[in-house]
Amino acid sequence: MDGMLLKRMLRRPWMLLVSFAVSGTLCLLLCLLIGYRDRQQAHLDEIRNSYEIKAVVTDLRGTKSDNLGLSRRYTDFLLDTENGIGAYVRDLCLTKTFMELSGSGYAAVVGVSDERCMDATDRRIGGDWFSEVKDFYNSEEMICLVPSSDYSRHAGQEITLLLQDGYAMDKDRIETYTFRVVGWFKGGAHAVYIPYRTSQTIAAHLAEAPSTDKASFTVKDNAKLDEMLEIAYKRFRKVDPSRTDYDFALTVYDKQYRATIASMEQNLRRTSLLLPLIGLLGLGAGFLLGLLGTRGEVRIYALMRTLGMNGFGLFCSVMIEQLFAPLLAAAVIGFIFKRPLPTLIFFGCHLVGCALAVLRPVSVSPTRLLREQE
Amino acid sequence: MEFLKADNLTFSYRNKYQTVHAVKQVSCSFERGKAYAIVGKSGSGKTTLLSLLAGLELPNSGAVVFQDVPTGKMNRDRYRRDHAAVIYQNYNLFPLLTAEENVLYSMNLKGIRGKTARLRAKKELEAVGIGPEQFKRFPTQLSGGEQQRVAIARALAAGNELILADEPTGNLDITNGDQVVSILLRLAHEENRCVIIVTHDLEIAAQADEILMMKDGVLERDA
Repeated sequence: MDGMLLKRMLRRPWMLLVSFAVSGTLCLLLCLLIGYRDRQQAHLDEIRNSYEIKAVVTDLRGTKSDNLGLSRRYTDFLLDTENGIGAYVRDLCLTKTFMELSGSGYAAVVGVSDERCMDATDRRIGGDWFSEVKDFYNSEEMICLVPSSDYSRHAGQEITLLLQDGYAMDKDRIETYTFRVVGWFKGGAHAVYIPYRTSQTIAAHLAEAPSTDKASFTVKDNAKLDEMLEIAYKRFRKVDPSRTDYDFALTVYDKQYRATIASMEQNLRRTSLLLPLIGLLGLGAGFLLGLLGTRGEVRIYALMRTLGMNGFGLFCSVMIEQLFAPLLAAAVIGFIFKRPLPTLIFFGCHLVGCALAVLRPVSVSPTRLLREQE
Repeated sequence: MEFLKADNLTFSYRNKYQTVHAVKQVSCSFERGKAYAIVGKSGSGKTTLLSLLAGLELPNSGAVVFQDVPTGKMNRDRYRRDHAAVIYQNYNLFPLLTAEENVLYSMNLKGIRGKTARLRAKKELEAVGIGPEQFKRFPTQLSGGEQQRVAIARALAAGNELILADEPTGNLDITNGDQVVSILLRLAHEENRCVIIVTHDLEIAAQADEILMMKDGVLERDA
């Protein structure tokens, strides 16, 4: 930088201070606003990623989610990753219940596809279970979990149970099945849990067409919720309390999620709208500071021109003088907040405003001084 | 080769109310080593003629020819920076720069910087009677005469051969005015520069080598 220019600037400390303070404040405001927006965005992303949207298959009126008797047409659709919605779901819970009629003390045998299907095994809500067979829920073996209170009695043994499927065409069909006890579940429910796939094999045997009593899942990727719903509603219907026909609906508990996201997105949009406003303020501040800084300096500029400085040189010189403090302020704020791009954009706006203000005074005719004298 | 020539210059401009024909078909020439005085009443066009000679304005017709090149065909910013220096009645120093820095400024524009520039500024300031104790003073801390001498030093330091002074003693008392005039005459006679002084003071004009009388934009030469 020209030594004379620097001296001129330093001898107008108030102008430097005002420029620094105004630009610094606006730049700070911009960085804080961007920080706020980024935090909002991060929070929104966190909600999108962590919010669990549950979906349950119900009857068409939405009043019943158990004992549905879902055929494989529906369960396969939930599992199919290509033609169904298998790729969009996680923690899929499918259960199938058989009545136990042997008088063993167990009222039912329940096929479960995941530990989250039953409260007694769901560790998130205090349930617990154990299986000596790895991947119990995906097994197709004739194995079972018994209540923990019975485990010591049955451990390593087999139990024989007399099962009936409530959805069998032939209501009198009852069969005996033997299961190896491989573990326990918490609580004293009068039931035996078997793998879901095993239950489907049994159901196919007892009722010709296997069915599922209950189906629920969690949406895997909330960002693809609408995409998932579009596919899901090709097979399932929407809940309609006025309908009584036999079909199944998919009830998705997304109301709260959508309300939360909508509210956050609205806040984010509002914040984002403020950003160009700060840019405009930067432009305005550049213009006003440019006017203030060049006020009363026109004679000096005319003198510079008279001494042989060309118009462009004068413009550059005045711009450097006017932008030194704002550049310093933007650099300091940008460095502190680690936001080089926004501060650069702010400085660009400031520069444009300043250039607009400076153009007129630096266009002064070099004859002005002589004319004044005349 | 003529040093500076005004060739049939005509210049008019429009103010709020009318078109002013400030200079009408003026022709004259100027040599190095001489001091010229342009005299005339207010509004006679003498300052306009000076601004044409300084390359601050271009004539509507005719030409200002400096060393055989019309100023209209040269870079006039460079012409002012390298050849023609203007001294004003109201000094026109940079208020935020000291006396020495004002002189250094015109040298910086020519690319002369550092120790060379400082030594030359010192020499030129001392040549016009500004002592070292005044070098660091700002224009407001100097008297009118001192300010005008700093303005002359600024013109000299840049090494310009053509010095154009518009009423250089207009704001000075007689003593200071005489000092400034004698400096300007010395520049012409001892340093072989061409000095053109616009004045309405006939006593100052009488000290010049040649007097040019302007009347209603027309030049009337008086030997």
